[in-house]
Amino acid sequence: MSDLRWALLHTPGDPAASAWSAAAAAVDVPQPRLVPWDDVLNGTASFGDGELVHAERLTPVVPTRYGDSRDRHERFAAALAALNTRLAADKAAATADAAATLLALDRKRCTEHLAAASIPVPEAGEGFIRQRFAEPGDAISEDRRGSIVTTLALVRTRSGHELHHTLHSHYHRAVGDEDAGCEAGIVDELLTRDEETFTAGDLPTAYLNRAQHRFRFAVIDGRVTHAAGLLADKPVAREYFGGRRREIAAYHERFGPEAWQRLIDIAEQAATAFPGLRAIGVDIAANQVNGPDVVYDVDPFGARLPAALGMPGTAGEGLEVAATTLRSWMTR
Amino acid sequence: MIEEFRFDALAVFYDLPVFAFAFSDPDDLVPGDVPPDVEAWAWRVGVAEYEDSDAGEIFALFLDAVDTARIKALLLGAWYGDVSGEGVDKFQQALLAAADRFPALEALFISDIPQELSEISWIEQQDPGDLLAAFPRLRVLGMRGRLDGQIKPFAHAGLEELVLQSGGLPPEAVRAVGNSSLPALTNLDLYLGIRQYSGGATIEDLSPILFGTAFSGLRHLGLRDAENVDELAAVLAHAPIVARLESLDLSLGTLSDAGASALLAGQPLTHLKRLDVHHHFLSEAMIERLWQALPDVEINVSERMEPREWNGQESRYVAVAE
Repeated sequence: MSDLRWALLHTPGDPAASAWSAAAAAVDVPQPRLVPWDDVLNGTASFGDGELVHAERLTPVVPTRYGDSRDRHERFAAALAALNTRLAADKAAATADAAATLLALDRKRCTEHLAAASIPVPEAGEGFIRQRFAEPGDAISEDRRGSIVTTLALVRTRSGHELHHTLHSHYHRAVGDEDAGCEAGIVDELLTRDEETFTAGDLPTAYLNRAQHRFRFAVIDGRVTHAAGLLADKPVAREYFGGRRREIAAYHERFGPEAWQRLIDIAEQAATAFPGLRAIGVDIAANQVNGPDVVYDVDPFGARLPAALGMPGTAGEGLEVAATTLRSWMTR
Repeated sequence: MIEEFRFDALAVFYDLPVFAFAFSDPDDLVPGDVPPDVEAWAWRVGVAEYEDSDAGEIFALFLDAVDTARIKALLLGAWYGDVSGEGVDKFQQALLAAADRFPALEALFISDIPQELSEISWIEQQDPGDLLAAFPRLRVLGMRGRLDGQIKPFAHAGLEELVLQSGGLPPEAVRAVGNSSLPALTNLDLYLGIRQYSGGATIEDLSPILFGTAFSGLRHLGLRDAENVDELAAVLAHAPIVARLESLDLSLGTLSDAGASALLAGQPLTHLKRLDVHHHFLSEAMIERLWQALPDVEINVSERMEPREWNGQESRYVAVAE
């Protein structure tokens, strides 16, 4: 068994803790010492000299929530600052750079950062609506004004209107449409007013195996180890990527290995823009016509690809993402 | 409660995330293709895309590949991939023949088919009586589609939730529900729909439910997607069932100020925890009246709609029809 000494900062109830526990068992690494985030926030946490500390999310993802993301982001920034102070005092080490983590979680800054590094990103525009500070995996609301499906729903309360994400497609009606309800204008007003909104002009999908897909890559120590297609047009309450990745095979068949290699290259280039993060997730919208393939999310907590096994010939072969990441830390 | 139907298949059922099983070729199924934590998922079996042949092979492979004895929640999807909505009878028979393979089944949804595979009015729903008899542990039953065949009254000692999603629930089916023997029922959702798609249930058809003789333990009643919801609201204002409810759902329909006003003019509703009228045609003033009259009730007034003009007349419309 490895002699890795490591601690996992987590919020009780977050399934990340059991995922890391399973990963440790898979690669014969000691179980992590679990430290609640609250202990860091109230100043009671302490770490061992040389202990490796991995910080998970401070607030677990709530996919239906829209709004208040700036507050959550700022709370997380303050928590990471407190953690860094504690780690420095205890001579412990973090698995990820705090500044890079926060940069990856701010879509506006992240996109600008990637673009400055010549990595293709979604063009500016108002087609697709996202939360600026939410995490990869949150719902993407397609189409701001049109009548195609969207995952953004307007909820009316006694105190006003709120926007919520919904897993389900939901027609929200266009301004000026004679068949429209009277809510589209309110949606627009809320989005315009909400400085947390991040919009992008184009976020393509690839039609593979009779479903629309985008791709998620795990990049560990600079190399892509895992990949899977994300369903872009169907509601998914819990993702599962075990077994054969038929959508990747379909992409190969339709666009050729060079096109697939291009996506891998883009994912690895995106990782180079975050040298403080050894294990990241990179989400790419592959364009099946002539436009560019674009990076639309970077996950500083590592790619969320539950049950996916690494690709043959990579460090992740036969392992899930977290287990591969642990192997990487063992060689730090 | 079972999620609302608008366009999509369910993402969550019985509080479990849905896993779609659409494999048909044993040679194509590799280790890891299906999640090992069987109990943690609701399993939807059936054709997933256009042009797939039929679900016979899919269901057979599902029985072979998955430890169905551990499944608590099962959804039957489409039998055919030709968007016809046919084959519900075949799927029901296939499940019936394999009923002993599902000893832990507590929740069943028949025909969880998204709009892209078949319009709700094309799904030829069948009487579920034999399935109810075959699954005595069932607590939740949902069905989607047109129920204009011979639907007999439901009978089940343990069923707690019944949801019938339709663009037009025939009066015969509504009467069958009202005459059912479901002593454990606490949640009932009926998508009543419109006459054009076989709906048109009247107050008389609903009377065993509304006047409290059918389901004494009912805590949630949904009379949804109704074109005559104003009329229903006026009756609910005095219906004995309302006093027992915690939750009343009149959403997806054509509720106007007349219906809401009638509802408020009747018996007290302050005991309700929830009143859901979303997808409605209420005025701002009426929304305000609801909030003021029921200050402690959680009221969903989202999706305020505008009437359409049709042949010079205002027309209100339900959310789910064709």
